[in-house]
Amino acid sequence: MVLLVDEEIHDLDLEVKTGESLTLRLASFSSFPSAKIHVKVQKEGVFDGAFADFSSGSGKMEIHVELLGEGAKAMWNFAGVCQQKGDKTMEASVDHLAPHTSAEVTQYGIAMGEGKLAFFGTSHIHPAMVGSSTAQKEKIIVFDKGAVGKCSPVLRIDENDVVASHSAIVGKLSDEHLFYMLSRGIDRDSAKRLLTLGYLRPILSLYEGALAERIQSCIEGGF
Amino acid sequence: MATLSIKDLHVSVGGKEILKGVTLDVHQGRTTALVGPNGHGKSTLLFAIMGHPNYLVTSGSITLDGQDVLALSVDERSKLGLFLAMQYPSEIPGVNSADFLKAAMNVRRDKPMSLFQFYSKMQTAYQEMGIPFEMSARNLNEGFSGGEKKRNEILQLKLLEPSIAMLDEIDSGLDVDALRVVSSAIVEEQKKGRGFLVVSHYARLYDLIAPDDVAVMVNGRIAVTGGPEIISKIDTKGYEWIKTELGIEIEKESSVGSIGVCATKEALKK
Repeated sequence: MVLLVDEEIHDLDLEVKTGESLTLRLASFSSFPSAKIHVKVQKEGVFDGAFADFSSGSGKMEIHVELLGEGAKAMWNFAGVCQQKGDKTMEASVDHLAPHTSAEVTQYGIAMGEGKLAFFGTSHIHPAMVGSSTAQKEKIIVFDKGAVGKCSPVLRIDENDVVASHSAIVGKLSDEHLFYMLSRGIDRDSAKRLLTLGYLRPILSLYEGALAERIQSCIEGGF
Repeated sequence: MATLSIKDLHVSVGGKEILKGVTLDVHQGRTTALVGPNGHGKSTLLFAIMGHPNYLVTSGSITLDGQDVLALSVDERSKLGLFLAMQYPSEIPGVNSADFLKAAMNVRRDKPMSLFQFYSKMQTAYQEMGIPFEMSARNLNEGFSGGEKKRNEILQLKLLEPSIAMLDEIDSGLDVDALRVVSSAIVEEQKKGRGFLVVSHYARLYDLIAPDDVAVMVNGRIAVTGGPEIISKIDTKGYEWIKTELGIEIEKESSVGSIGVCATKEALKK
């Protein structure tokens, strides 16, 4: 497992060799890392990446995975918050360059204050890469009037015999939802906190030990 | 025993006056049935009491045990002891049911409950309402059937222990078995001394929960109050007697059997 926190996160070139697996866990709490990560996955290799981001600041983080060998797999999970005047872009792209490859990209975020959060990425199944599957799921909830959320998961599919899906949701805390929660005695800030928990907590299961505890205290304690 | 006291209440929605001087007392330990033709302001009264921002109180007062309810925010009204079980409970994606219940139970306590205490209370309530406990791990009301949402409203009532609970057509969309579960839970809460203000179009629910008092809302006012005999009268004669016996012209014709019409929706159409 490769575990990188805050300043340790930088440009990386990684390769998952035939039949091997690589777990990459990133977490940022201070400033958002503008880094490019490139991962090559060979035959039947597995790449499992996750990034929990509670940092301030702005930047663009890119992850590009190339599935080069038959049966190669990749998972990428991001959960994070963009607040104050932060402007963050998270781009996650996958190229399926061998048959029977699979990839799942999941990115959940919260934009608050005057924060701007954007999720981009292209999942490309190249010609003749039969039996491949690719999925992208992106969700951003916008808490405040000045905050902005953008999701743009793109699929490029050049082969028929594949399974591909993508979904993008940018939502705000609706007045009716808020009224429902308030009517049970939960104040506005706690209502937001509950939504935060629902969006960000799933990533906790991918982390262990002291880092998991630190992420948990960020999610539950208000970043 | 607390009393919810509504005096000469006027409420507008979208610039249209819906409630035109409602005066009504609801007592803790008693159940008041609020009946009336569709579109005459019953749900509006409940939402105005709870403080929904679309329902503008233009004059009158609401107090609970002497405290000015109108001066309080929605969450403060809940903490004071008011509860509204809604006809169409919101589905809230991203909010886990158990987290939501825990937060709602803890806001009315000085010290947060222990996890054990919370889970045992929650488990008992789920069991009593016939809801599979696994549903506590799901997002609030998301993907719940109409009946499950209504049971979930009563489950919250049981856990939040209000002094006055308002039920807005809690029986709509319930099958016979679910109605039995919901009405038994209401009866159990009545025994604990809670007060109820219950809106329903059907005598079937009132037969099961036996209200002490009945108020009939017509044209945005309480036209008549009395005992349970009024429900039997409405069930057999409809609302025509309001006109013949009391001389009150019913402003709009009620659409019998329709549960989707409400004064607010009608006002917003215009």
